[in-house]
Amino acid sequence: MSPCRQLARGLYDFVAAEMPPQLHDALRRHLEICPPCAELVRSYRLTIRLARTLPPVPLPPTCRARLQALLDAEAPVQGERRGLSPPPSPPG
Amino acid sequence: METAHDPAALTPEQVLHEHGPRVYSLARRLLGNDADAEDVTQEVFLRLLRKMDSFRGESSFPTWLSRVTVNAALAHRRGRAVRERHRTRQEVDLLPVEGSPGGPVRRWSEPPDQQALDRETHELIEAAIAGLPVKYRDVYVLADVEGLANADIAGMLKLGLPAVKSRLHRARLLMRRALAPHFEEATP
Repeated sequence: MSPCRQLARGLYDFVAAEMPPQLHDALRRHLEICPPCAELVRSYRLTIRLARTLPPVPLPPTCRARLQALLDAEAPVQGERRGLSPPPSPPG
Repeated sequence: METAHDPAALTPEQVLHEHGPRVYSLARRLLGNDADAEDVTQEVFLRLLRKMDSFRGESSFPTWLSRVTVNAALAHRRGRAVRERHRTRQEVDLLPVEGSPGGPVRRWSEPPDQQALDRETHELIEAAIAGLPVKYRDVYVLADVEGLANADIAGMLKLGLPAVKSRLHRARLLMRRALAPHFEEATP
């Protein structure tokens, strides 16, 4: 099998360094003389790196409000579970 | 990097503040729309409030929270019509088995560092993720966006480790293809 094909088939393992060291070294040497394969590996690695740059999606105000309402509704239940007394009822 | 938290030491408000965006983000990326993500986020926090004691510290709290979120998102997805399954089959058929470019390869421009990526670039990546077929999107989000270990993902999705790797590889190839027009340098 040609090195190009070997690399294409084993791309995941190559990038994750999960292939036998001897094969990994051979393919690494191949990258030095094969621009298309080198670019394939580079762009594959970049897609991984780009995913890791993503910040959290901001919590929409509607969602935050729903969660706050949930907390407010659950607070008395949580208090009871922890053995806390409910607040006294207002007089009258 | 995951940090070890003692959730019992946090008030519900602190849990919401510290983990709300992460839960919402994960749900949003898995489900692909705001309304479902909001429903799932609420479901997760309800479980969190009522079943915090089921966290036994066997994994880190963020990993445990990811598992709860993934379970809720998958259950939510099962509860509605899944038209995307048809799309998945079509796109898989179009995808080459290997990563070989199969044509002239153009060099990708090097994106700037993480902090310098602008909102437009983030939107491009988010759109590419949203365009992934569901079976690849799940693995990709958990592995490459969330940074979870393949073994944890296999447990969450009830897949074997080889299936996780295979799907992740295909997802990366699809992402690469979707992002190429935006990152390839112009031919001189």
